[in-house]
Amino acid sequence: MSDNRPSEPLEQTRKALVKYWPNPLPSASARAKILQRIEAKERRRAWPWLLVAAACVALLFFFVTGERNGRRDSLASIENAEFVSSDDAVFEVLQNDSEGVRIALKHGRLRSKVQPLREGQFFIVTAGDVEVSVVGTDFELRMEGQRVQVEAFAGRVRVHALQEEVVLRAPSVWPKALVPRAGQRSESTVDAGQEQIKRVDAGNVEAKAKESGSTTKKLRVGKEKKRATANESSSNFKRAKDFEGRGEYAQALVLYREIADSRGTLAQDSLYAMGRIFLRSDLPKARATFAEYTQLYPNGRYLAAVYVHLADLWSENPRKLRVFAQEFLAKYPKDARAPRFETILEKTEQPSP
Amino acid sequence: MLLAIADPKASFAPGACEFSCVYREYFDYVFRIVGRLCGGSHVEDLTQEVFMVAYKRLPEFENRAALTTWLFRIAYRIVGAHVRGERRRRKLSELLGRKQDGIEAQNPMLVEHSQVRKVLIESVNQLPWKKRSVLILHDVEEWSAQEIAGHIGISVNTVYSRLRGARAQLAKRFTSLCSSPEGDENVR
Repeated sequence: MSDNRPSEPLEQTRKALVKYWPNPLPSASARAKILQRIEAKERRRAWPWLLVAAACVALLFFFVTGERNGRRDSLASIENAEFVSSDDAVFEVLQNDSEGVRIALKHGRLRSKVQPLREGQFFIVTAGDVEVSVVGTDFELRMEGQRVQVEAFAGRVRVHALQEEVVLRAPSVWPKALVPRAGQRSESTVDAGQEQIKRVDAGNVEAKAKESGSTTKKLRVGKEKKRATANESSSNFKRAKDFEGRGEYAQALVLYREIADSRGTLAQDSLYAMGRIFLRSDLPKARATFAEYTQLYPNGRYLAAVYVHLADLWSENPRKLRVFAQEFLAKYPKDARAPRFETILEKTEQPSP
Repeated sequence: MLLAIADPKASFAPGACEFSCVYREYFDYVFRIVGRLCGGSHVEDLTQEVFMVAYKRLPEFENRAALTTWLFRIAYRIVGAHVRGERRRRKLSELLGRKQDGIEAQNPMLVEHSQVRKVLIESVNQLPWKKRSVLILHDVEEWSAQEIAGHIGISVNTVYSRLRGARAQLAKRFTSLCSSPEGDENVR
């Protein structure tokens, strides 16, 4: 095209443009450098996806295998209860059968939502020397080192801690803050949501501990000892349960006796388990064991069942039978088994002189 | 004189080779096109951007146009965005009264060059992107109007129109700058 040629005044500009316009030359180094940069950028672009993929695989692994510290499997088998645990929670299912559920929390947080239980069934979560028993509720137990805290979200829970017993009504927390549970105690007023509470006076404990270094040391040693004993008891209890399950009663009885003598949180469970084993073969020993239980644990959680067993064991002895019936009815007048004891009471009624 | 750029009409069979093949075969072409269109500044960065886009879009290439045309269009858009951005930044700096980096700072190739070259590049930088690209391709790269129209996707008449406008604006700006005392001697 002839008309696209510039006219004379513009020719000078065009020549300058052709002559001076930059003309960068491609070089081998530029070629390699740019390719490297593209590859690096592509790798960086792929990283987030790789991370997401790895996270998905890890999650899938945990959920499929149920590894997650072995918690999902053990808890999945517990009926009528939902659990939410913190990532660092460590716990052990000591018992899970028709009688009830017993879980030992070693560390972390475990929230349990429990459906109403059957008559005589129990649901207990322990953390160190604190025991939480429940009949249909939603609660969380937290344990950080030596500190234990219970929070009830719905229903009621009974907390046993060493010598004290507290009934929490939702919504309430015991104690208010995560405080060390050891040493000096002081009674405090009852909260609106709590029937009875004896709370640890943490400030008092700490102040006194500061006064005397030796006191602190003693407290710490005492706490560690108690904790070690509690852990040992829980593992022994599990072993004993295993022995019992396999029919190896002699070994089970040795371990149960050991735990029962330790007077720990599992002592009454062990004593009751011993009584049940003796029911199979040695009735006199069963009588003695259940009698021991009634003396040691007048408010024990198995007391009603123990009275039933004792009534069966002493069915030949109207005098004893009557005593058990009276005691049972005095303590459990609304229990489903109360009519049976009323009948016993009627039958064994002594003729008036 | 002008460098021989790869044949713009060269076709490319899809699937014949992958990105590494495209990069190896067309790196020089893309580098030169980008260098010419942007005026020598940020050539490596812009070439990298062109190949990044090509890398992502290569599976979508359907061989409806030559691969060089496809690469040219990517380069044209990327360099156009860059040039427009540079102009916006320059105008903003002028409005805010900030001192501009010299043209040498933007384009290290110009440090050793004469005053005429600086004036020329400043003049071209003042041109709108559409006119500037047509001017460079036609007058510097010596592409025909038909080739430019085919590559950019405009009519031949539009190419001529832009070319005329670009030349007139450049000549006006260039001669006015050259007639100033500092540029006059260099041009003569």
